[in-house]
Amino acid sequence: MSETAVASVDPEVAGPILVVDDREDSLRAVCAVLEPLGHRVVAARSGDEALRYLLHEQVSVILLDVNMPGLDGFSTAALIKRRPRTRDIPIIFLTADRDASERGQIQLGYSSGAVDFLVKPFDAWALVSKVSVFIELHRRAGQLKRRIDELQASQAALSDAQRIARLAHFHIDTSTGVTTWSDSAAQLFGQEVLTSNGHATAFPFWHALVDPQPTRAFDQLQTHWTAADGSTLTLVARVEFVRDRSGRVQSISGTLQDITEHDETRRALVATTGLLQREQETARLLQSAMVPKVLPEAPCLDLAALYLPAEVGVGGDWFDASIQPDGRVLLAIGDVAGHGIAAATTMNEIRIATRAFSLTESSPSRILHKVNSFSRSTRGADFVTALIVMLDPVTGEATVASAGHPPPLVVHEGSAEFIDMRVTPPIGVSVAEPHDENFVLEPGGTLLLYTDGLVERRNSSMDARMAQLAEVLAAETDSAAATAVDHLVARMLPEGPPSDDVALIAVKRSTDRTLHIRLPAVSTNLAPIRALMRRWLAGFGAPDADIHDIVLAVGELASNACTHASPMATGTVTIDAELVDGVVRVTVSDQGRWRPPLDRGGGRGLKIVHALVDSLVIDSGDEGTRAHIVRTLAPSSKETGANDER
Amino acid sequence: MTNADDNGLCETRHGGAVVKTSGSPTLEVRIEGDVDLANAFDIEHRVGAAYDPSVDGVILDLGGTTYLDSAGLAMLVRITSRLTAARTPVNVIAPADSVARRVITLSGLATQLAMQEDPTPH
Repeated sequence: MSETAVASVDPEVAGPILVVDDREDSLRAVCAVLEPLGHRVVAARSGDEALRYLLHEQVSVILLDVNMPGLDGFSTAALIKRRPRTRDIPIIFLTADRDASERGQIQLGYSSGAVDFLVKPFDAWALVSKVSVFIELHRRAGQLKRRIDELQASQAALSDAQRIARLAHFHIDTSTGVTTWSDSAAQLFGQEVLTSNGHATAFPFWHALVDPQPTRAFDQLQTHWTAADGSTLTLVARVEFVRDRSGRVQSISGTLQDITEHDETRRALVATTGLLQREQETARLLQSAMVPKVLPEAPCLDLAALYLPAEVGVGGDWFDASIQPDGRVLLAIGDVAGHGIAAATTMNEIRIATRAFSLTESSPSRILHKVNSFSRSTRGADFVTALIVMLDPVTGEATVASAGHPPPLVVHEGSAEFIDMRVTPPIGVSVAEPHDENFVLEPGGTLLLYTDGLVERRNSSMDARMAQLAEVLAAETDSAAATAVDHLVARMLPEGPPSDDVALIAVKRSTDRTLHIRLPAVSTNLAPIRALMRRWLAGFGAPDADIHDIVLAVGELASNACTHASPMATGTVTIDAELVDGVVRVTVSDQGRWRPPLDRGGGRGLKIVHALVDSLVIDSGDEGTRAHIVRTLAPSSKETGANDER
Repeated sequence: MTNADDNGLCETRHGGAVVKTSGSPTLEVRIEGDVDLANAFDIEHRVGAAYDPSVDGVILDLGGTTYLDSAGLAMLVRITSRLTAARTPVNVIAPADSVARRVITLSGLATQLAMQEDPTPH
């Protein structure tokens, strides 16, 4: 352990974060990222060490490396989940291998209790936000559990009390006025009070009892009553009136119960309803953590998204946008049936599964098929609609598949059209395989994905609402994506929060032919950067040798940005490229300062770049580093200019 | 490489690259796909794991490498210098028209990496 544990842990304070990784560099990096959260971070270097620590200590969240020598992450998680006292601790798996999240591993991961996967090197923001959400959830779950324990304890006390003493029997002979009490009555209410023998002063129900409603045979009355010691009791009388043939009451017999404590429990239960409202809050928190707050800035695309919770709480809508290793942008949107924490949790698992399968499957229909198999084999009873689009930001070529989800809408030059798609059932329902449909998003065109909360509404048909949606979006041809989203919401939902939650993503393709890419400066983004650069140059008909050299030069500079500029991956790397008259100019910028070129690796990289381009200029300042390269293409390609859709 | 399959060919994926290792008495490592900052360290670990001090030599075949940057070169330098220190002969194969050859030449590392164009008969 890198830190000794404190002896007593205040239950109100969340326990430490446990990081389990065999690699020292990785441990140090994770600890550094988590430090600003202000939570104690405990490091363990093996699964065994983590299990030993958990024997005596409670933690709020565990970050667990998948690949460790000896006991690997999955086996460690399975052992943690087997112990009752550690069973509920959320586990986030860390994996260095994008392919670790393929089918078998996901199932293994979830079955051993993962709440999330993070692929190294990860975005620091994503790590911090996920960890803080799980700490908060853990804290709230703890509060709720303690409250429920208290309530259960007081209920147990109550039933004991009832059984032993809180109930008294009485019998009143109305002709003589003699009241007979059971022995328990004196213990409950005091001897002097209840021996009134017909005097109305002391007995709380006297008036009501001796003057009953004429026809009733039974009655139940409740009142507050101040006992001789000054305490106020809540009493309930259950009585039976025995009448003669003429209907006159002859005698009254019944029970008198002190329900004061029961009443307090009930009030406590009412207070706990406040906790149930907090469950809603928790679901909302979960939902907001799952829906990406900052979408990756999609290359050559203007992207905007919005999630609107329903008026009555959180549902299971989500969206996601990510970049694929081949540079295509993956857009996903979905809707889990139901509301509250259950729906939000299902949503999270389906969302993670979708993202994970997208790393190994290259078409939307294959991803949906895998998610469906995953859902059907490991979860059961899911009912999730989902739609996935893979969009090439350079060519506008797109592929879409849907599992029970309403079709996307495409707007170009004032006309709006829904993509004509074959409908397959929602995820979790059948084994039917979704189909891929291809379409092209023209330069300047806008693609809209949405959930049914936007088009479903009482008193109007879905067809009419969809027609209205098309009309509204058609008017937004010239708007930026964010503006289009705002206008859509204002026009489609003029009365404020919808009755069902709503998620939408709008993507507008750029009209100019420059290349603009801004992505988190992590090494896994180098592959998509190269792929996009390659396709962008190929669109101009650049010769292969030129493409290779420029891609290598840009790859080196971007790699420098990832290594030196932001070792903790908090920054971004930006690539701006233009091709004019056969000359390619690229600027690669980041927020960091590069180390001197003699430093290992960097020097060699820059030497290569120098050899590949006509000129290389590096500006390094407090704001960051900008590298400009210029390279003239081989003459044959100079006048080629077809970068439009093939 | 002909009897590789009979001789315990092992294939692992590391991001955009696939590493195939096989054999004794000579360890042959074939790196296919893209090698960059994202997977260079993992590939180095993989090669380290496949290495047994009893082998009589190591061949690093970059013929199928589609992208190699300075992070990949640094990995090659680290591997070859460690093997050399362990007195294990190492050959780096990068055919004349290969992507790897161009990068190695540009960086001036051809001599240091004990380059051979393609010594093994296919």
